[in-house]
Amino acid sequence: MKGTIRPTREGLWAAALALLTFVSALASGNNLLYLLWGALAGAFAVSWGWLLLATRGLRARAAFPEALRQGSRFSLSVLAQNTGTLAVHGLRARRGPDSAAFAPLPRGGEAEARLDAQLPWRGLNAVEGLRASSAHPFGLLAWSAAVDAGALALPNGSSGLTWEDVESVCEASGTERPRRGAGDELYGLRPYAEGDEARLMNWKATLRSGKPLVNEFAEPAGAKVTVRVDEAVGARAERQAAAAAAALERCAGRGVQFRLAAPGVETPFGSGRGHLLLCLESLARLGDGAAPRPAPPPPGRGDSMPASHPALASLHAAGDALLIAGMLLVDEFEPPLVAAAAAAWMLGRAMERGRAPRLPAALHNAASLAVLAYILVVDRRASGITLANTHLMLYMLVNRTLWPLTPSERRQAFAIQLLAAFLISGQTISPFYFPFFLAFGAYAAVWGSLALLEAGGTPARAAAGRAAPAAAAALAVAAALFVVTPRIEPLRQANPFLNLGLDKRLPTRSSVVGFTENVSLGYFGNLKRSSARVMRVKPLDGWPPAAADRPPVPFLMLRGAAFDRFDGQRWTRTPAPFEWRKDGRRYVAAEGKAWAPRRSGAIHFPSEGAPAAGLEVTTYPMNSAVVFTAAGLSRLEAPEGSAWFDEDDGAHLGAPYTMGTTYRVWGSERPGLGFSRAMPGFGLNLERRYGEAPADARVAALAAEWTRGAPDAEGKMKAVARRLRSGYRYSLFAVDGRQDLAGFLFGGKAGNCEYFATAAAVLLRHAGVPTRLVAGFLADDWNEFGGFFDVRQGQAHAWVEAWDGAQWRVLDPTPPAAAATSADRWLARAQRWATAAQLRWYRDVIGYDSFIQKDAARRARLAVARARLEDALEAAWPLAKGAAAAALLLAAASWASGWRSRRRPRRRFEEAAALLEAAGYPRRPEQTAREFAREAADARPELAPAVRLAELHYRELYDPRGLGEEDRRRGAELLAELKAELRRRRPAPV
Amino acid sequence: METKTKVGALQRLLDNVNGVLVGKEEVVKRTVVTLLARGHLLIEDVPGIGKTLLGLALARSIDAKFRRIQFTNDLLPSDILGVHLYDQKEGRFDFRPGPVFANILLADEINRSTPKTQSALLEAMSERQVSLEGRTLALPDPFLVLATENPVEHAGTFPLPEAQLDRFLMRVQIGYPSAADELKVLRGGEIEARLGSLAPVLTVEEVLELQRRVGAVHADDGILEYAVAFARATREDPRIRLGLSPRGSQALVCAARASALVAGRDYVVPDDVKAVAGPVAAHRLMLDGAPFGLARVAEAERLVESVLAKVPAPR
Repeated sequence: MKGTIRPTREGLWAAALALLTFVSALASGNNLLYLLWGALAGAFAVSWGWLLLATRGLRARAAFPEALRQGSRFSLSVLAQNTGTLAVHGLRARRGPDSAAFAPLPRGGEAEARLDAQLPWRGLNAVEGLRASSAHPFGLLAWSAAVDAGALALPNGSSGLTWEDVESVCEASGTERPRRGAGDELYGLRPYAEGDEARLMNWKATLRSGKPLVNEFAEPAGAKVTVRVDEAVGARAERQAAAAAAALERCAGRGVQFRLAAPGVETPFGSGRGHLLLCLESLARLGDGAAPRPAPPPPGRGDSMPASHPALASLHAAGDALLIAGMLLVDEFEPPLVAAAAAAWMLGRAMERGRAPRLPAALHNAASLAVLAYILVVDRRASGITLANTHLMLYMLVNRTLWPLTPSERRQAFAIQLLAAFLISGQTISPFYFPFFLAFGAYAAVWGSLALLEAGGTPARAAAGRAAPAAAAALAVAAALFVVTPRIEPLRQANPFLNLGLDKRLPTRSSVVGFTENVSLGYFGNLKRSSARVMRVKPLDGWPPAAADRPPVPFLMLRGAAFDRFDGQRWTRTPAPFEWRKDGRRYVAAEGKAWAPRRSGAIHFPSEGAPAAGLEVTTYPMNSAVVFTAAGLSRLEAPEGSAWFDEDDGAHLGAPYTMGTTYRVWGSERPGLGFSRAMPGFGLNLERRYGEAPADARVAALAAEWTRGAPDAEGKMKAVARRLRSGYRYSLFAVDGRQDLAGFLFGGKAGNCEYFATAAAVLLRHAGVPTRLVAGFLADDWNEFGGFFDVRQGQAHAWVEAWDGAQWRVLDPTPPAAAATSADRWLARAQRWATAAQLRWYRDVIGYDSFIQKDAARRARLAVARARLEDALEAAWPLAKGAAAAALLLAAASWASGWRSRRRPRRRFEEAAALLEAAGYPRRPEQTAREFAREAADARPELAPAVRLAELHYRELYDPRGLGEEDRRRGAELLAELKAELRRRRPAPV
Repeated sequence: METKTKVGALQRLLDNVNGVLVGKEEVVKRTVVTLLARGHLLIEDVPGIGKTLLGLALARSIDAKFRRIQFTNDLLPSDILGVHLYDQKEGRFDFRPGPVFANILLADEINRSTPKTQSALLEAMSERQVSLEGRTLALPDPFLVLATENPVEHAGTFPLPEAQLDRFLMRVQIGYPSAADELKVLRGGEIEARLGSLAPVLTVEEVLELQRRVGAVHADDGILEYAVAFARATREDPRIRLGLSPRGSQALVCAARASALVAGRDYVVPDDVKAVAGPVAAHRLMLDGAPFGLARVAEAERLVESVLAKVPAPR
């Protein structure tokens, strides 16, 4: 049955929303909008495919009752049969505004739907506008196909006729005389005979006469009526036809013999109902009635969905509740508003169940106006357009719950819900969005499924069950679309939706974590209290293999930035111009920034030695551009196209990763050499840049005392570190508030890493060893679920790099803090699991971008190419062996005598059978060759060569002697004959 | 060359019998096939359509001994097999052979006698010998039993059980002749005269030779597989309670071989199997709730047809 698939009204709504979502996702780069777009597009794709598949084997036809009268109402039955492979749900028969649902049609099932109809014309009527349609699943797209229906209406002689009208068409002949029969009149009495019915007994007469008597009835006989119609076309003809119908019926009722005489029709005399129907049919087909006249559907347009299932109200309320709760996901949304909306929602439910009185309409309208005015005038300016829109949506959701909804209003309310879901998607990055998304998707699928059904037709649970496979398929399509929809960065930069607040969502400022370049004594104490996450560091290649739940290394010291200058309270970096050549490349830094060259997708740094162990660093949004490394830096792959380095061997991306980023870094074989070792005048610069310390006699004396006896830089480093570790104690906060270096060294003797590192750096400088302070993170929190180090703000750390005359050596003078009391192991595991899930959400969903897409595509291409190469290599060897063996065999075979004559050519008959099949004589599997050939020859005697070929074929196959040369030649001739015959004329077989 | 001659003689045999039994070429062919396949034939039909004539004509044509037994409910096994009578003159028991000692035996209305008598004949049929009082007497060769059953009358009959039916190679129905053929029969004059004018076209020895040749007819593996596929299909058909037994499929191939020989070939083609499948298989199938009488026979044949239509023929 050929049908068309068109969007329903809800479908148009959803399509518009999908388009809006797609455009705003493209423009804003907001991944949750991409997710929503994927879900909407997936729902459409699945609907379309589902309808196409499910309706492929659908047949529908109309069935009419017998002997229909013109103008009388009847129940038109539409029968549907499903011969396809999928069950058909939500099938409806429609005609104009009327519609009726079919029961679900399983494979091979049949169902019936009934519609009221009326045939307006006498004679043949073409019933127009009858369609079968289905919008399952989701109700976004509706398949609809016309059902051909036509029926004959007998003229109706029951209305608007006068006695004269009827008389005027009757001509009586013959004489009416009573005889025994089945009429109403009493004819007489006769004695009872065996077998007479008891009801015919005339008891009175029986009693009177003493003999059993029965009644006999009379039937008029002998009268003959000719019903004559003079005209066949025109208004008079219709009236005459009606009068004739009335007359015929009267005649039939009285039992007289009658006939119809009309232009072109003359029936013989007859009586009874059969004869009446014959006459009426002739009358119906008279003149205009012979050709079908269109019977248009009743005026009005059918609702695309009834939307009146009893469970729909509860479901809808659940959807409202879900969306109201979902508003909490919006970053700037005010929770009290949600609480108020929840209260209003509960009030609405109470009203719906009749437990609370309905609001007066005037009050409802006034309140609506006031809220709308407030949102449009005040709120729009105060909160911004998007948030105000969200407020508006929240109000509309609440408003809809406070008012009883008609089915069409319910559909509007559903559209509002879709819009609200869109607004929520555009304004959050919370991981809790995902369960919300799933719940809303399930809700929308069930809503669509329920709204398709006739009120109370199907249990809600069954409807939900039917929607489930389609919803799962749509989710799969959504995931695929999310992944493959291209993220176009330039579009995002010209985001026209920016003013509306739709942008790739960033975390709110309060949640921005960071790496501080403000290394000022006492400041770290504040930083270390924060448990905010900073980044995840995943070891790539070149590390020792990681065990199931153990990291490859116990900890990583993630180097951020280094500082050369200490003014007694804080460390700073002195930018200086430099210029040098290395490996034929010239590096110029104007203000301490030298841009690293980019080659073949990676940025290369002028480090010494080959690249070493790699890390994948995923940072949370940070207002920083520092590149964190574990041991030197040789190579960087980052979405940012550029990076620079400074003379303190720190590297920075071209722009701060305020949205978070993922990059891969590779260390260098000899990290201690840094980049700047090769700089001209490095040695001179070393003393000046890393040797100055604030003059303080007590500190200088302490340095001299601690390093006395140490022969070289290394000995001095060890001595200072030993003294600090043994004589000082770790404390997160300075003992007496903001203490300075002297206070730490000589007073409290307790502090955090910043104090220890500063003390070591300054003391070593006093002892003549060049040092610099390094700020970074000490990553030791291994997440076994994600296979990464989880780095938090509290793990910020400071240590020292000291020049031992040949390279920079790392010196961490901070003693370990008291071991943290181990919390419940399971709780810690659960926390780590949640952390891994959260990372996946932020990295794979929120942070999904063109870089990852391109990277994945490149990796996929590489993997495919590699697999192909491997396959080719793998396949090549046996193939080569096989080819060699085959060549040997072939040579042996061709050498053996008589090989040629024993070669089996393609059998002639097979060729002939293929030709015959192509010519339209299909061979059934149970047919033998002979039967097949004979059938073709019977249909077309010229094909007789096929029969002789079949006999030859039999000999070839079954005769152990096979065919001789003569037979082969004969076979070839026969085949040629057959071919010629088939070419000559190609009539289609009958 | 020899085969050609014998096969030519076969054609003459067919022509001979067809000349007497007008318009029943298929039945005659099946009878000859049964004869060559060393089987026996069950004719299920109403009286008066030429069963005896068929047997007589065949016997005359091969110059063989023909006997006929009319089965009644008081028939005893000895009435068929023969009795030992005491010869007072000689003072010993002489064996008087029964009608079973013939080349072609017409067992008319076999279902009218008691099972005991039936089984005596059936045993003789399958073993081709008779054992009486410790003596074993071989039956003449060739030995063909044409048993008839009247499917319409049932009062006082003992229908053959399925196990016994299995001993008949084929079951055929002769059926009424067409109007034209019947007219030809009426015009043709006395049957006896026509029978009398029949000349033998094959000797008994030649028939035996042909019977031996049936075993040498080549049946390709494809053909055997087709026969097995058909047998399996009858076993799997839900309408059939009991399908074709392995003995049945053996009989099918044997009949197909004989049929090929009758057609002048010394190899079997799929059409041979198809041609004999109906008469070989139909009476061996046990049907579920089938009607009685002729309708039952027709139903079984129809079923075989529908099963054949489901089995793909060798290409």
